Amino acid sequence: MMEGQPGFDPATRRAGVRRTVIILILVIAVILGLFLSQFL
Amino acid sequence: MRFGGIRNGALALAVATGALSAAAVRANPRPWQLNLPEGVTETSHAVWDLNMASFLVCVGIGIVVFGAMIIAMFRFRKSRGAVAEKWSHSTKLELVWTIVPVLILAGLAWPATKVLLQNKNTAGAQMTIKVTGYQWKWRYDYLDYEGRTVKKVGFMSSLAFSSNKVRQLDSGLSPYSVKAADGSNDYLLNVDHLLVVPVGVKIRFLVTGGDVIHSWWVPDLGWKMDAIPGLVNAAWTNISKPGIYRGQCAELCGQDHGFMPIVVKAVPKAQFEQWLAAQEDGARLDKAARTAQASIPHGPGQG
Amino acid sequence: MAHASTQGHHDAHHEAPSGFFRRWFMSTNHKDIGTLYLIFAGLMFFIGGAMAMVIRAELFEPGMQLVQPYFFNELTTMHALVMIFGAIMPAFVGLANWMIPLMIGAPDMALPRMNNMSFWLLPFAFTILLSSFFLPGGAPAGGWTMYPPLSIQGGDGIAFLIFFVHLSGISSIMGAINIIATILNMRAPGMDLLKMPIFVWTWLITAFLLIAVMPVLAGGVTMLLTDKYFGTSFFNAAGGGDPVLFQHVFWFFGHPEVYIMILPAFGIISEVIPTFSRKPLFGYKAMVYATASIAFLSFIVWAHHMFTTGLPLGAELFFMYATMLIAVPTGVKVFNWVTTMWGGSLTFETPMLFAVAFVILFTIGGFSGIMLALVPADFQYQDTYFVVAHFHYVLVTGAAFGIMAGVYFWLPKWSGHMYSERWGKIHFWLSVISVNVLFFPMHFLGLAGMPRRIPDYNVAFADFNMISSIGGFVFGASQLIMVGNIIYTVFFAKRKASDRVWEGAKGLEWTVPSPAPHHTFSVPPVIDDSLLAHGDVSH
Repeated sequence: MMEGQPGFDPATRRAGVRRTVIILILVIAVILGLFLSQFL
Repeated sequence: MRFGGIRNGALALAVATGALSAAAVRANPRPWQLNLPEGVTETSHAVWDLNMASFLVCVGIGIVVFGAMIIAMFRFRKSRGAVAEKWSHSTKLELVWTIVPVLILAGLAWPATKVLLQNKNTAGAQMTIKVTGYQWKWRYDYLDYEGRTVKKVGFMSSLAFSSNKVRQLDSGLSPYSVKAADGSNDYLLNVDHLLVVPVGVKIRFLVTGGDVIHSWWVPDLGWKMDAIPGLVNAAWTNISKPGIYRGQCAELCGQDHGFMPIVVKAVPKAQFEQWLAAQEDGARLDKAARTAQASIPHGPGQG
Repeated sequence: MAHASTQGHHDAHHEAPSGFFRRWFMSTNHKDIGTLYLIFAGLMFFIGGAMAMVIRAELFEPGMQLVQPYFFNELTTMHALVMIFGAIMPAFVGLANWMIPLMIGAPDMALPRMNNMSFWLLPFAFTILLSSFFLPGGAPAGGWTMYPPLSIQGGDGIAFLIFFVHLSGISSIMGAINIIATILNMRAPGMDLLKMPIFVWTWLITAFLLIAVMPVLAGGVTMLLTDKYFGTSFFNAAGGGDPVLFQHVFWFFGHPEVYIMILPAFGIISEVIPTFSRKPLFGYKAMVYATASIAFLSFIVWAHHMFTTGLPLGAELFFMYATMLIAVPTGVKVFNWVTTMWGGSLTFETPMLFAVAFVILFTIGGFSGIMLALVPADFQYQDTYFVVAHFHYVLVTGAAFGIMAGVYFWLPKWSGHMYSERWGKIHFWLSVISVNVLFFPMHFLGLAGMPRRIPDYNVAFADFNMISSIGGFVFGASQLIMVGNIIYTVFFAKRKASDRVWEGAKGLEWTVPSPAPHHTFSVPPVIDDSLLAHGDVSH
């Protein structure tokens, strides 16, 4: 995802976008989880 | 010492520019004042030195950077026939301007650390005053003095009436009409009860908040300390010259945040001791009066 | 041109939708959404600016003349919130929407429908925020930093503020996800990460900052909400809580937020200066690394906003040293900009003028930042007008000047017409002079002892306040010139802009026609390194 050259193929792009979004949402979940864990 | 030299130079400048004001201790902010007051404590002097040192370092860097920029803007104008060069990299240069700033910063961090250590050391205080911030006034309680507990000396200190009536919206009164006893303008910087302290004594302040967060700040003492409910912060000062020093609440605390000044009156030790004794007597008399009143039987119907 | 064929086949559905509602309200096009963001930011800039005018009018002379102290606090609070969340941040997102796909050769943002939602949350968020002025208890008046216990003391305005923060936070997070997904997945073949324009790089890093800190702010303000309405005591000392905890949470968001508001401006300046110097950006890689270092350091300096809260000695030393360290990568950037100009062939069109002013004035803001980093000195500066001067130098002559440089720089590409250079220059000179008249005397006021957020002051502060107010009125009024110039350019200007627009312009965005057609790069461009601003990164 980071190093490889992105193709212009729509299917590859869609898969890449989906992967990125899932990772980012997991990152947000982890941050919120860490935050909440301080108070629970 | 390095910063001593800077300070003396700047001092000469300050004396030259401020020659009009003849007062020995300039406690009030002055019109057209450009810099921090030097203050009347060791800490405030150290902070003033630090302020000047960091300022001059910035001026130096500014001269180099902006100078280079201004030269570039004149020398490399297209209208003067400048042709763009192609280079876009130089490891040597980039190393230089990474390492040199680190060294300059270390040179500033060193004195800053020293002053901070001094500032944080409240040990060996000969006197303790508790400061409590309320919306929108200060309470001062004298806790101990030279090893003995002070009995019931404490009072509220809020904006003086003369300022308070002028500062009302559309009061029609001029802020320039509010004058202290010495004729200087003390609009919004005067209170009904001054905080009286001795000079030459290390005073510990215990600062806390009664409702919301306030911040106790007298520029001439060289620091401010937040007054936070549920937390007691310690700070200290040792004032070298008698005088009246003015400050203001520095943390937004509601509608009258701008109207809860701080006025410290530093007096010689003997005079302070007299004052303190009078206050303690007053407190005792008050208490006696209250006790006497309480012993008078209430009339019928009164609980 | 490498991809002339890209624009060759315009079939019907490649044009902008015809209906006004369909085009602007249901848009999924990155250019139209970028335009919406920019118009919204401009509107908020003037609403926040109007509040600033009232503030400066009240401070014009000592004594209370115009507003009650409580309303004054409402104004300072709302001015900050509107300018930060309404003007600066949406303007940068608008520029990102417009320029990132054009710069990396992508047909659109990765998630176009989410893009529409990111924008349309904002008008609702700000309706909620601004409507709080009409509540019985008035708008929030506890400062944009919302420090408890003060912030939860007043009426229900704080609840409106909290829901506003949630909405605009969701909008920012969605925008950030979209930008990261676009940059990582939508680059044209051959557009390696280290060939991307610096603007794209700074936005990539900014987007990560947004994702990291917006949830923290949302959590912090939610705790504020439960403290006020549901009987919790996170920040209530009487209930075993700690008011300082909020400040830690807030500034863990707040300090990266400061860089969220400046890094994209760094990116714009890094595009503008090489263009008008006709010389490649000096030290491209160093610029990227410096941006990343600043972003990293922004997470470990938050408590320098809290030096006077009585932190332990060790913490104060750590945060002082870490804060001073930020000067190093920031210095690298400034030195690199100056060196880019050195040996160039300079012309001074309006974008370049704003960029040069940015470098000088932002650096002045950086200088006061170094002074503020020294803890014992900060004990004097904290919460005075010195701080007000500092952050207005980095946010107005920094972020806002960066945005203005970017708007003048890319407006011909967006509209297809040249703006009026003459009025651009008038706008610049009026702005740059008045902004210094406005903010420079604030340094003196702060040093002389004037606290911030006060509606009235001692007569000793009268002269500089009056000067500052006069500067403020002129600065406010001169921004109308920019609006006039933009309206003129978009609707009335006769002079067509060429595709390249600027002689020294490099990068993919200048290879598409002016105005940029509704759809670009439907077919990937063939990337020729000599066309890129940073094609040559072999060293």
